[in-house]
Amino acid sequence: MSAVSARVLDVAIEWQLRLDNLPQAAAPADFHAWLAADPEHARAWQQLNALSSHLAPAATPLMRRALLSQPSSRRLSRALLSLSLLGALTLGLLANQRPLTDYLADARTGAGEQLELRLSDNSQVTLNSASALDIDFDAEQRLLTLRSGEILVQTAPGDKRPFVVATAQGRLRALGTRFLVRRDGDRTHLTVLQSAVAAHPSNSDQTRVIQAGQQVDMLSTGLGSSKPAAPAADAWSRGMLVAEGQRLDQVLAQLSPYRTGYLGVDPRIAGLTISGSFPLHDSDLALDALALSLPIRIERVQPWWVRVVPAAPASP
Amino acid sequence: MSAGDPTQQHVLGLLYRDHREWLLGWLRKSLYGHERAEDLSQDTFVRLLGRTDLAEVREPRALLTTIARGLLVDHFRRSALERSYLDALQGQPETSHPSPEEQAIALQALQEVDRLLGNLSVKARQAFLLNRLDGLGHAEIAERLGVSVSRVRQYLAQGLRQCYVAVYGEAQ
Repeated sequence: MSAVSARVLDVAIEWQLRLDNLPQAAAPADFHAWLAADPEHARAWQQLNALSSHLAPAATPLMRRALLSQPSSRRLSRALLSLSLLGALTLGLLANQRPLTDYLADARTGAGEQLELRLSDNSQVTLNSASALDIDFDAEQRLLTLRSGEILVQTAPGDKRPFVVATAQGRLRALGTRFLVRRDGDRTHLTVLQSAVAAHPSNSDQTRVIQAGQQVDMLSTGLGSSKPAAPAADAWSRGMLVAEGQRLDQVLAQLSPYRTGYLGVDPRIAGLTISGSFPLHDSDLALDALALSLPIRIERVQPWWVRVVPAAPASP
Repeated sequence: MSAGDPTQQHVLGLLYRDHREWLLGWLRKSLYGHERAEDLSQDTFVRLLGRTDLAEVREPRALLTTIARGLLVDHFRRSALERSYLDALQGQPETSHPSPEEQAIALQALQEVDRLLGNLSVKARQAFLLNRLDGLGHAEIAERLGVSVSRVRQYLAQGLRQCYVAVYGEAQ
């Protein structure tokens, strides 16, 4: 059934809205007259009424929630892509895959870089921005030492040697497959995505098994309490920053390792919350996307000196 | 000329040979090395199958990236929707989780409804679905969403128009 004319559609929609508020079978005479006046009117009416059947999958609460939960992030990604039409997407992210067959390899990433490594046992390690890692495999153990930054580890099954990530604060022994380790000042932050990891702070007798879906802070003197893992904690390994109701200053703090230079935020807007996905590979694009959905302005004093400030108040 | 035309196939073959690697690289970069790049590059060339003007294309890479960008937008939309579906699923007791097949079907239906709702705002979507599926009146929707009744009317008109065009095409 083909579309009716724009004029007829306008009138038909107007009738839909008017009749909506009337009890059924109470349609006024002039509605029936309109309907009968032209076959196109009847067709428009029929088409509009048939729309509900197309929407039927959204009738369940689950589907409804999914449809209503994130158009904001979708709007953002559209905005991002339209910006990328300007050619901004050409700044690529370093995602090399290089085999490391040897022991004692050092891996390092600069600001804005990521590096994916396949180790000699077929485990996979992804280094986040500004990270440094020593790799030290021998007959006894598979040892990674995280000097700075963050890694995502996917261990390979079938190797009997223990797989250990060491930091200044202690040792994390993989009991399973997938986890994140981040250095953060005087603490090491662990998020377990699959199976479990045994955490052992260096100056403590304590050892605790952290299960999938949990995160914990490790100080050299002990472990904090286990908490549910942040959603999409490993999104960076796919080049995305995923925020769900996070404070603006926290989002900017996660973006900032991907930039060189100063990124400041005005305290008046630091507490605004945001949900959405942002590309890490081009943080300027991400900042522009933030400005589309919050009352903020990106002040670019210099390319390396950026401040996020309240949007100018609307002129009175 | 049809897609089966030998000249056409030849040109497409040349395009494929000369630009496939490049397009794959471009997609990998845009998708952050995602494995979907392979599929999307293939889909991009499939879109060219029906075109009859390939021999005249002066900037093949510009054409390829234009098509690939469209596919990328769809891809991002789909994965965002998939994520919110899985998030919504997490809020449910595990025993009531649908099987992987059922999930795939539900996702497909979800994508179709999402396409129909297009660029409607969250509030407009909410108002429209409350009205069409739950049969709520304008005043009741206004109260639920905390907006005026005339705003609800605007939402519903937007919803009807958007959805109509998505199903039947642009009104003439």
